[in-house]
Amino acid sequence: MENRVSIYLENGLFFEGESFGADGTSVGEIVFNTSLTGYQEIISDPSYAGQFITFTTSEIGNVGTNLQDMESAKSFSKGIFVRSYNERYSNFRGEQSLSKFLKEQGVMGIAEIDTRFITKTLRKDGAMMMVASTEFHTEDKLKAILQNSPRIEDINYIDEVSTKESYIHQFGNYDISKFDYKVPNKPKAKIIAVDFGVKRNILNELVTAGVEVEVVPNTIDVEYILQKYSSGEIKGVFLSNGPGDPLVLTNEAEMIEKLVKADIPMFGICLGHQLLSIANGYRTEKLKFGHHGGNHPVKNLKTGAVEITSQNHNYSVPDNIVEIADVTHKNLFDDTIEGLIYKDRPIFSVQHHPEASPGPHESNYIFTEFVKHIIES
Amino acid sequence: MPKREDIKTILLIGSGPIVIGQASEFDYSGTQAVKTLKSLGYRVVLINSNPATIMTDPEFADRTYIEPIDEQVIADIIKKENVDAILPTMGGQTALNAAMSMYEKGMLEGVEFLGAKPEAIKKGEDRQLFKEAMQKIGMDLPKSKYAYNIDEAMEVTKEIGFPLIIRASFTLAGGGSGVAYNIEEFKDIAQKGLDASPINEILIEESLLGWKEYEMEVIRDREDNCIIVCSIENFDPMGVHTGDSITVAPALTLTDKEYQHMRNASFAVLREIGVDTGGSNVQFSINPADGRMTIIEMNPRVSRSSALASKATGYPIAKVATLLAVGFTLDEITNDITGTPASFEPVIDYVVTKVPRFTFEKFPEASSTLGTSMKSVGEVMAIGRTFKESVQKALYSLETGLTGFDEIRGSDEDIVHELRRPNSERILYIGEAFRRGMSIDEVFQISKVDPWFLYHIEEIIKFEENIDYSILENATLLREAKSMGFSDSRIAKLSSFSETQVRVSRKRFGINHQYNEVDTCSAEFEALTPYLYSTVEKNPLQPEEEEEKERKRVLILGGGPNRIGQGIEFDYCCVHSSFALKDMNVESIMYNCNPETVSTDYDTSDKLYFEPIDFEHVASIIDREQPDGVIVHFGGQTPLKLANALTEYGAKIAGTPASVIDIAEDREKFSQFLRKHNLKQPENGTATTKDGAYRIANEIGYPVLVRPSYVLGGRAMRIVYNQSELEQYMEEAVSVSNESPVLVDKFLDRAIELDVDAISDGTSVYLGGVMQHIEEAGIHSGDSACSLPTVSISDEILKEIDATTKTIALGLGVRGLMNIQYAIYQDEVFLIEVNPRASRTVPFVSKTTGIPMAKVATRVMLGEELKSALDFYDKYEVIKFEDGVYKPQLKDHVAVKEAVFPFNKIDGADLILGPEMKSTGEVMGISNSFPISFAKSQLASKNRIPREGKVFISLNNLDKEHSLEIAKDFVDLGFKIVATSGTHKYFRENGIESEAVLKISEGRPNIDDKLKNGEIALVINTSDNRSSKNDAKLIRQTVLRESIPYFTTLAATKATTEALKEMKLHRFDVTPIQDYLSE
Repeated sequence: MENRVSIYLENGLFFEGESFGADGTSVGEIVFNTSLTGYQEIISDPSYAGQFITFTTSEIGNVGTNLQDMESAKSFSKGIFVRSYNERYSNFRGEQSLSKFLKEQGVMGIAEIDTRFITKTLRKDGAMMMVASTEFHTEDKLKAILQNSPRIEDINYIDEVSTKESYIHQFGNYDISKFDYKVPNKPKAKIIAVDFGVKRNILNELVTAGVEVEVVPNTIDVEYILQKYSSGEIKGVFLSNGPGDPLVLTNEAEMIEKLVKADIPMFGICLGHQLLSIANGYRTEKLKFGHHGGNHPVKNLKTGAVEITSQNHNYSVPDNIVEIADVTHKNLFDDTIEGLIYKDRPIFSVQHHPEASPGPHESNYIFTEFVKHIIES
Repeated sequence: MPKREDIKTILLIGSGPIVIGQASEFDYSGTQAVKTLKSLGYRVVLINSNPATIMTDPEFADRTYIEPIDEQVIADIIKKENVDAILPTMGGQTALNAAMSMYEKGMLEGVEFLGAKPEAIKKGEDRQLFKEAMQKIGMDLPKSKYAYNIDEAMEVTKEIGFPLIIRASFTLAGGGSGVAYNIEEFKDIAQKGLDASPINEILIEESLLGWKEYEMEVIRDREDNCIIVCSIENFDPMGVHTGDSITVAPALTLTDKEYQHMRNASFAVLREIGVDTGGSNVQFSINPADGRMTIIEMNPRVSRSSALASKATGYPIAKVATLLAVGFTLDEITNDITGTPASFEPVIDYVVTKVPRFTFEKFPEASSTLGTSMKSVGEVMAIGRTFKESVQKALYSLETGLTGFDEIRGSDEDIVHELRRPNSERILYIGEAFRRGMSIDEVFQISKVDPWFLYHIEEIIKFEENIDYSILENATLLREAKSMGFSDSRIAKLSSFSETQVRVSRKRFGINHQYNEVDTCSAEFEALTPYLYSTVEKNPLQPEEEEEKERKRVLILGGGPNRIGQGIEFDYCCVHSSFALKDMNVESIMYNCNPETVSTDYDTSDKLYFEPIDFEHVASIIDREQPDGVIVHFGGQTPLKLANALTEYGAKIAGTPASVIDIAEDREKFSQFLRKHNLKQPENGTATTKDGAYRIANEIGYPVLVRPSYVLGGRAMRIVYNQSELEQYMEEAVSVSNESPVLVDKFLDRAIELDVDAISDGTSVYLGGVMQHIEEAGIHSGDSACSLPTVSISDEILKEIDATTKTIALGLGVRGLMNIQYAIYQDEVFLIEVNPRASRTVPFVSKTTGIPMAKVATRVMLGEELKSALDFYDKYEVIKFEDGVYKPQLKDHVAVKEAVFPFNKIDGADLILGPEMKSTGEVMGISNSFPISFAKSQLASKNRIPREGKVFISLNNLDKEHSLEIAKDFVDLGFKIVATSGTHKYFRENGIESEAVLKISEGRPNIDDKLKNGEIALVINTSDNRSSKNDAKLIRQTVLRESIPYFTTLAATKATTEALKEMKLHRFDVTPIQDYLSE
């Protein structure tokens, strides 16, 4: 077969598909995402570093790809599984096909897969490691490659995905009436966003909420931040989303612990939310197959409103964190904690993705709350 | 907050008869609503004039009024039942309009609106208010302006350029709407729109022709939580009513940014309109060139699209909307399918395609070009993993003989013409265009169908080239074809093999259908309710599983898409069969492809397969489920046609076997059977040549009834009175041959027809109902009004009917339901037709007698004795044994069924009745006297009998001599008769006073002027096109346009005068069916 790609899953499942992305051999963790729209944003979300994404939505590639819908400068995900790949696309913003995009980005694309069966497998057996290859096609060979590769828990992807240099983020959120990003207004304050693999739209939303955002690498010297805060240059710190197991990020947790102790107003999303928990002494737990999609109901316990949220995480904070923080948001599917406000610190965080992109927009009030929070504290 | 305790009695308004634009989807939503309200402990009062609905079964609501959906009737019910609140959002536009009109007249004082408040309904429905509301929240709208008369309308054309869209306010399914490309066309459509709108208002709009069209199905709760249940993208670009468009879910050509914009806009619309709780539908269009999005309209109620969205995702919108209406919030409701909260947005891992079903063949004079007024009568939905699989499945689900993208004959010019013209077969023309080498861009430029869809169709057509004789030896190729949705029959056609050969080969290679759940969540959670569809994966991973069998299991094959001749009645029977299986603790498996039904509700049966009803897919289910019985008798002709093939395949047909069905369907065998039992049928013959037909007709004598040998609903059936008419018929209407013979029957002029529904277990027989047709023989039984019990049939004849029915049932070996049509001609009983299956009248008979015939029949079909099956369901104790048969002891009531026609929807259609069925639905009138029941049935079918005024009588010559008594009655009742010269003269000669009026062709002012001026209260017009072609037709067009009550047969007119006499003496009372039955 042309474009033959062979796949071996940790649970012993060995099968073939058709490659429409980058060639080669790649090892990663396989997860599924149930979003109906926004495959490009998902593929370019740095939180998927080291992962293969199974799209449950069956037709993928329909709208092509474009430069606007990137959630980071490049894609860090390992590959994607789809049922039906569309080389020809139809959307007035489409610029190039998904296949071309994946090849450029070095991401594998695997089509003609019973993604529903894969999803059911992950639901039953949990997220797992896998290998895909356009070069090797025997089960033994692939199995051997997988066995000789590190597991996702053992890899620190943050150094790869985080920015190497600090910079000021220049854009606001997307203006659908102009089909372009907004030019920021004069900011009310400045913050630092620590980049663990930040999605662009988080930065866009922060800017739109009224702050100047200096994005810094994960390896930033904590003194740099402390100094800027004590000098009054910045009013708060944002801790971004990012890939992988938070428990391997010991340096980051230590840095955050120092920021916590300095009583700096902080806000974390996803990995940022998890690292805050770890920094406060509460170790995260791995979920069986995680939350990946754009349809999870999250209840805002303060207002009683149900928000349909964008989700992408395999880990969650432990229930006993209520000892030091109040739960502000709860996932109605499995009752896991989705949002916290720390009792004695000016810190809050959410597990889901209020920046959406892709996904519903109703949670983006959180960015305004954060800006209000730092200006008031 | 849990349910509200401050309300006790809730009135639910149904949608009335099935008409174009309002089909059985509202039985589905209404049934969900009734069940939900009842389970919460509310006292539920229901009004719906349509007896063929599940919701009007006496066991659902507490009080069920099968009465006309009329303001005064509703007011009487509200008073009688102490109604606290009304739920008007479940019964389509009918319910909403009735409630709103009553509200505005102050007839609903003290009755609370649940779901949407009157102000919100008004804002959503009134185009001006809607426009203002949308402008307020910054929505982009097409340029538009209102007009209230033709002069104002003409002004607007100067401001907005052509083409223009005209929409009439407050009409159903786009009635009175259209697209105008020039001033002349504009004038015509604008005038029609002004007439159609109850407030004489039209909206004239910038044309968005060629834009992409989308729908969002939205739910909102009282805490302002909003969710999108489903996004739908139309295959047909703007300009075709969404009900007539092929639609696809989910939306496929939007990026997340555009999708979320549409989602946010949908919520903003609900908030601004003020839909506090419940489901709504919001429609958008997008300019494919630059992405500009405008809002088109919204419906503050459940709709056809919400039914589709429910079936497409598994999310029960009507049920959830009902719970929200009585106080719950989304997070307090559980999603039955997964056990998780209902406050989420369903996601799907397949593609759903809906294709509408049309019946233009019934109305050859009507235009088949699609526009903004809905014309389709039904739809199918297909589920496939990919668009290719989904759309092909949908095409062969339609039962129009398609095996997929079948070839189309015609010149290249024809193809181009049909690509441009929106029509019901355009998708096939697209396929054909690619087959002939047209490019994507050419097809797009002409049709404006989004290129994304075109790519896939082109790929399907390209793949056809790979399918040749070698495919049966090429497992990879065969699997690939199957995974693209090619049917076995299509592969057979393309490879010149038989379907059986393809199937054998497929099975040899292990290429079987696999079954996936419709689970609202793309497999993220386990599905608790088995709602399944088939697919073929190119690289299958799922191991084939054996279905575990714990108890007896029966498969019910449904009726497929609604169409004229096969509608909701059959779905009713299938649903009842399923309920009966539940009562017997037998596992029920429902199989259907029509989303507008109760049968395809996920909780109707133990298991649901949403699949095309063809041999390939049914056989595959039989392999998988190994059912102990297959019921093919309840879904109409669709499943019945499969009886032979399934029997040969080894399936166990429950009840009446295929061999018996065959005898009844085969004319020769049937005639033999009748001769053997000494039963009479009209003289007849079968012709395989034109000359043969003339010879037979001469032998048996004119008039004769002619038709092709295979017909559904009397298609192409005609009565001819002489050889020249027969010659014309043979030339134009049919192509006669050995393969398609033409049947010639003696026509029994002015005979009275009877319809009998019966059940037999092989040893005894139950005559569930003997109905007398009001119209005489010659009018299709489905179009005829009928009365249960009979009104003018002698006991002697009725005894003969009992005996004959028994003879036929036992003689044929019927086990289950059967329907017989008799004609009483010169006091003799003739057999017209025997159908050993459920008939259209089963629901009507069941409602009237209190014996649910389809349920009883189901027990009998599974082997129970008739007597014990009857006893099981004899809730009202009506069963008696008399004259050798079981029958119901009817109580004092009389029920009249009346047919409802689509003439006002299908532009150019003529309202004359004949042997070809034209009605889409039915209503029932019930009271303690025949005339009042008849009057109720007329009111319910929107043909309100006037109490006074002028009646215009125009008769064909054959009718004149039978008309004097009726004319005299009208005069005695205080009516003034108006007649054209011939009839006027005839009346004068016979001493009946009438006013002469000019025919249209005789000058002005003529009858047409009088009709248009509202001077005529009632029209009796039996003249057909033979006697006065142009006048008669023009008069009928005016009658339709002006909505003047009319009758086209003397028999119905006679019933009308009797009703008028009775209405002078008695009050028009409303009584629930439960009271009639337990009187």
